[in-house]
Amino acid sequence: MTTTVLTVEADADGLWWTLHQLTSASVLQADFIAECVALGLAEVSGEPVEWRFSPPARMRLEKAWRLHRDLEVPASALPLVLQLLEEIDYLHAEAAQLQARLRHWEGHG
Amino acid sequence: MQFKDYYQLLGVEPSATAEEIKKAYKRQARRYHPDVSKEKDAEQKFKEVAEAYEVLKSDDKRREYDQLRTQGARGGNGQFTPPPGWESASHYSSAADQAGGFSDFFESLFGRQGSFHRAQGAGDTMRMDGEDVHAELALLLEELHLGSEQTVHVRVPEVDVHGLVSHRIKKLKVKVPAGTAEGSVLRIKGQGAAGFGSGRQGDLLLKIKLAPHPLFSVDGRDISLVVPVLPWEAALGCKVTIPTLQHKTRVSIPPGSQSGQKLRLAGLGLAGNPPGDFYVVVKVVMPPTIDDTAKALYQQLAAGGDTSPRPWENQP
Repeated sequence: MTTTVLTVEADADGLWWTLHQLTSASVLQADFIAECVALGLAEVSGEPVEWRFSPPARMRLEKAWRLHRDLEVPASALPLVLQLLEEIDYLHAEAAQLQARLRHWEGHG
Repeated sequence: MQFKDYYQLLGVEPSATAEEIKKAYKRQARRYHPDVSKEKDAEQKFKEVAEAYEVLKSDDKRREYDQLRTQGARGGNGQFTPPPGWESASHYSSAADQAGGFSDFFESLFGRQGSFHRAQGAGDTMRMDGEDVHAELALLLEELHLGSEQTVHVRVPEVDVHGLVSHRIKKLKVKVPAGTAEGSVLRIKGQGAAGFGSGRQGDLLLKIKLAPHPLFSVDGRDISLVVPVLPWEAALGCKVTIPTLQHKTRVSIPPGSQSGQKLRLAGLGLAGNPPGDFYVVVKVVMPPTIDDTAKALYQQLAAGGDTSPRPWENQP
């Protein structure tokens, strides 16, 4: 039996944290989350009691919190910092892929 | 226990001002913070830097540390022991304090805290990656072939800030790509157990199982269908209509076909690169009833036949 590992996208509509659940289960505090929401770091709608946070949103908020707490990145700069970090990660991954392909073609040249 | 030179870790002189210490911490934190650093062992180095800053940023802790630095007992091997009866006046005990994952050296000087409370604070690099969760998903052959969207329920563990583990049922919609083979593992990133602190979220690993099919059997990407034919169809050849995964199709059974003979329809198996093949397996069956006319015809065949299907009866 062959075992192939595929990566697929999942629609995790059953795994969203409420604001209360998120503050209970993580180091995040409600006022910090609210500030991040206002800055567009996590997309939610309605009143705070209706907010739902996806796993990627939680990871993003926790990363924002660590940057804010440890590096004293001002909250207003967090969206830019996170965006730049994500772009750096993306570009590193893309460069690694291109280098792998280049090595592959050089091997066949 | 090894003595830690917090001044050296931050790259400042023991006479450094609070402002210089803060600047040095910011510089080192920027360099080693696990969220931004590409340095090797960045997380461990950031832990050390955060621990040094935790001590040196506080006047009380820094005074005590300086005192120990000059008075603490050090053996010939460089091992450090606090003076007998040592007790910190700025004992580290509050959850509001900024610490976490600190060294034995730090804890011997300033006390320790419940491990899970360490998740709060500037020194927090305490992290625990979430576990991968394994589950199985049974699919029909057609769902594997064409791809499908499935709703799965998986039970995943969660750890709260108090370290208590509970479970909850996650409901996920998963898109299974067309041509997924039995035994494949779908890795759904970030849908396993939650990480703790800055730990990453585990993945969900769904192993694909194949539900039994009423007509088809599967071997890898190849599909087989047993096609019953009557004796005269096998003898004279015939055309039969068969179902495949894609559509119904006509297949010619060649004259003289035996039970067990396989006919291959290339590329009509499970989707993939390359796709599997579809095998028609001939099975000669007797009609359920034999009337007098048929019986007479069989008797004619029996009278004219001189070859047995049993090889041991044909030996001279």
